[in-house]
Amino acid sequence: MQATDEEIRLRKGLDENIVREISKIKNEPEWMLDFRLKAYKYFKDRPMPAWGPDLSGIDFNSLSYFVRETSKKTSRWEDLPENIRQIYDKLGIPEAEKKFLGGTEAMFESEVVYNRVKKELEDLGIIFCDTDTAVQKYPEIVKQYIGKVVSPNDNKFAALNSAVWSGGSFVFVPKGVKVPMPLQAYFRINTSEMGQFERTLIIAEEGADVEYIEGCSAVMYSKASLHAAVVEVIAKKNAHVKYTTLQNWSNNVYNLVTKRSFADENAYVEWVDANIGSKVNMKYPSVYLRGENARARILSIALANSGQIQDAGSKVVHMAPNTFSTITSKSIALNGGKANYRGLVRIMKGAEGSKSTVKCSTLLLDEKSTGDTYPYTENNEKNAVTTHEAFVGKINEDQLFYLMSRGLNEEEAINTIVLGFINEMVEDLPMEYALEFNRLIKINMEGAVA
Amino acid sequence: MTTENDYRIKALEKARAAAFEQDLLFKYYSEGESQLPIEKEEKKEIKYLRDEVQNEIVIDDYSVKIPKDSNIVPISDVFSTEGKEVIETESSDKIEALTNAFFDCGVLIKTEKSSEMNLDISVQKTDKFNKSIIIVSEGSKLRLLKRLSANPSEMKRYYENFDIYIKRDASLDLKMISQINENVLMNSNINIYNEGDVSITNIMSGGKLARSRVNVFLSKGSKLTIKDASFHSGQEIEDKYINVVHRDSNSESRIDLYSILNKNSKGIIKGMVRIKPNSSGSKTELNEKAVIIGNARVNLIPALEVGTNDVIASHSDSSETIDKDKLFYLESKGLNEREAKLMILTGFVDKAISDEEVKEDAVKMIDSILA
Amino acid sequence: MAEIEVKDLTAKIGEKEILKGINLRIRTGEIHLLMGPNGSGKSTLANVMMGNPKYSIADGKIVFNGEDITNLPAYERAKRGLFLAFQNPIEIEGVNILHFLRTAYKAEKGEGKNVIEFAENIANELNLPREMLKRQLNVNFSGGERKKLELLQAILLDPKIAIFDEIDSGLDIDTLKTVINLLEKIKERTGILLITHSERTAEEVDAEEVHVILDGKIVEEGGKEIIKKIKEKGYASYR
Repeated sequence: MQATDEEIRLRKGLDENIVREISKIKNEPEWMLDFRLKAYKYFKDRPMPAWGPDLSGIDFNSLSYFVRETSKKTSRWEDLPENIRQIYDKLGIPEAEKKFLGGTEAMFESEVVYNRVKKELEDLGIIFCDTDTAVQKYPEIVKQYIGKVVSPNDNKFAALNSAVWSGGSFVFVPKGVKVPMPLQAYFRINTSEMGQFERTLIIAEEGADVEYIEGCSAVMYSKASLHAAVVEVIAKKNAHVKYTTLQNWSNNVYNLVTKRSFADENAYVEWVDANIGSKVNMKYPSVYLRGENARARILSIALANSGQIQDAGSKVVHMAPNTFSTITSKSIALNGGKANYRGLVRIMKGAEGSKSTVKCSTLLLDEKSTGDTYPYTENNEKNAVTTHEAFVGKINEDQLFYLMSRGLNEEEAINTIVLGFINEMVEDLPMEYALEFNRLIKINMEGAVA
Repeated sequence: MTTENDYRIKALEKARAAAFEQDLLFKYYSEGESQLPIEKEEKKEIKYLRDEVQNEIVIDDYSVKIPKDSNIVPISDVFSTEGKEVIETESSDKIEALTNAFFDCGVLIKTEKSSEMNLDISVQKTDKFNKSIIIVSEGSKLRLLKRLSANPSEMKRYYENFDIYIKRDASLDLKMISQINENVLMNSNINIYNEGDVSITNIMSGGKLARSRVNVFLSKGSKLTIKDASFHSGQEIEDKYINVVHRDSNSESRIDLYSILNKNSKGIIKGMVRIKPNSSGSKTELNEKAVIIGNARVNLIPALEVGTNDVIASHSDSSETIDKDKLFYLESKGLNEREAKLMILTGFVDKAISDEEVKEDAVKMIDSILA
Repeated sequence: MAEIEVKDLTAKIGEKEILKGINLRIRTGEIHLLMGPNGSGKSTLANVMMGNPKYSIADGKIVFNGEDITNLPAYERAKRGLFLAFQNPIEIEGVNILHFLRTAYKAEKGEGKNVIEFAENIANELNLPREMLKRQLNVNFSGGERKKLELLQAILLDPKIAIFDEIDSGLDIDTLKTVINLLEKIKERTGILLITHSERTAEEVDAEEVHVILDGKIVEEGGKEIIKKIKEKGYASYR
């Protein structure tokens, strides 16, 4: 924790002065300081959520709400500081670079230090940068959309994020433009007692098409870490946005994320969410289907190992006629982990012809693992159809025996069934992520057989 | 022995202290707090049960003609004949506690061990606090049909508590048919402690506010089946909550909650199934299905908490309106719209209510909400 | 030359005894028929020989090539060359068939073969469209398609002893003929126990011995003349 030339770390705890300091360090315009201060008031006034997993382990006063590792933003790999390059080496980023996966943006501590946008994107008029840069370079756009999908007063952690946010991605795709490759981001928490408050904003104008992927990895610590991100996605008429997250925080992290999207007429929003890590993960990607014919697809996979609580789910609000939503949730709990599903489907009056389908499955691999399912359906429109089904239980013994009769031992058979169980997610990921994901699952499953 | 007076006083204390909707999970999915005259009732004084008549037991508005030394007696007898474990209950719903404080009618039904008993009872007046206890003794079988029909001109509130104990190797076949007026406020609280087999068939219609709580606690090897259908129209509101706790191994539950809602009615259907960690080998299936027509609305919440892995647990819910293709098909065969709807809805309910005795009343209820 | 021997085998499911002292021996080059009415224990015997943990062995043993395998788990039996074609093969979602076949082959035989090519050729012979191999294991497969996939596995994995539990049900006449031909082809390398309750299938097969099972016991053993007897008198004659 030494203060180097390139490092700024604010004192622990949170008060109005810290918020002002953060805004000052970032050299933000007045309106953004205003935004933060209002949000800070909401944060103070809002109580902790009355439902859900136990969050009493979060000590707000022991966290540092802003850390910056280096003040330079580089656009070439070679320009990154040595220690940071070493960390990224371990994460395998150079390989990714070689495959031209598109603009790669990496975030270290709370700030973006590595930012590289391919010329292709620039030529198409696509903006892909970190949110801090966006506040400086594209204030009109940011001002227009930030806080509109997730209001700073939506919940305590959205308020916290709105007050102290730093980093995150800003994506703007102009009318009719299809982003030629998935945009990616890498995250990293590297010190203890540090909060991570990315603010991501994705705007897809009419007819735009963009896929965004974020995958994370983190180091083990001794004290609890808090990650309270906010992701706002706007999909305008005829637009398509697919947002994929591979979450693998170390298991001392509280990962409390608010992810929400608006989908206008004929727009299509997909949330693909894999939750492998963290101590407590609360994440309910949501879509508000505001325009006629809008569609939502939410795919959520969670793996809860020893000491972990995965409290994942979804929320869809059908506000217009002929809107459709498909939600699939697959969870696995082992070694006493807990995998929960919490979902809301709300069909408002007037959303005629709409349909919502929800399927949840939870595999409990041993007798100590548990899982709760809380689905809420509100149907206010008779000409709309909702269905929901859920299954919770252990691996089917007949399936186990079948595979074992073909020479697979018990561990191999369980792995095969589990990987088959989450196969839907794997098929959805780009190849390198799919391989990494399968590897992560296998590593987590080691020792699953009692 | 608990005296009746002590019991009532304690119950009133409990009622005053209790929150209306106990479970935080359903905080925003709750009706009744504004409709039921709670404040007024909490301030009342304790009253006592009236005496019964000689050869024929007429307990207020339960009219049952059976010999006097049989197994059905006025509820107050429970304080002298039964032990604490029968009188004290685990749940602490506000209205349940109020009913325990002010009950002015009710029966205690207790079967002889290894016997079989058949009983039809009917409740005709509202504005009552009914407290009843049913004990199905070891090895015995009880078939009980309970009808509730409220005279439209009577006063408008009816509360009932049923505490039911099914002992080992015993079975209960409980059928309930409740037709109440659209202005009636009703609260029904049923606690079931099941060590054997319980099968419940329940249909209800009407109620300005029909609130029901069913808590079932399943012991080792016990079985529960609930087939439940509700029919509402007008401005009726139903808040239904079924809570099933699998406390021990090899217990089974199958719950089907069907509703048909018309005009401006609203249904909140909450099903909570909890499988405790020592309930390995247990099975549960919960289905909530709703057909909504007119401007009706429905909230469906089938919750499931699973505490161990050697179980088979599933649930489902669905909501939709009457299938237009089915309507057209039937109309093209000569049925008018009303007849076609009645046929389709009867078919819908048939999956839950197949019992002949109850089906007839169900069809009448569907017909009246289609009006 | 391989051999499996079932000696005085008594097996239960829970408290209920299903097999009551079964004796049976099958060798490479032989096809044995096991026939009996529904509920007689045919499938149970097949499952117990393969090591299904649902059943417990109360008495007796199973010896495979001189080794007592009674307490070995299923995969150990598979690795030693025992195969079971299930009566109702189960669906396993998300498991790609070709991947599964490669994994099973590797587990039992090791590396070496171009499994995909081999599997596709067998699929062809069985009239199973190649595209099906790209699907998920038995998911949305008809009964007949599942049986064909079981047979494909039998040929691919080249076991020493193979048990076929009602491979004939759900198959049309032509496919059945193909299947029987294939069985007779592989019997040189693989000892076969063919379970069926169809006399017609039994008649078509060139079997060395016929065993009749009733209520968990073998009630008759002999040549193919037994089939005629069953055709004429049914199983009632054994009671």
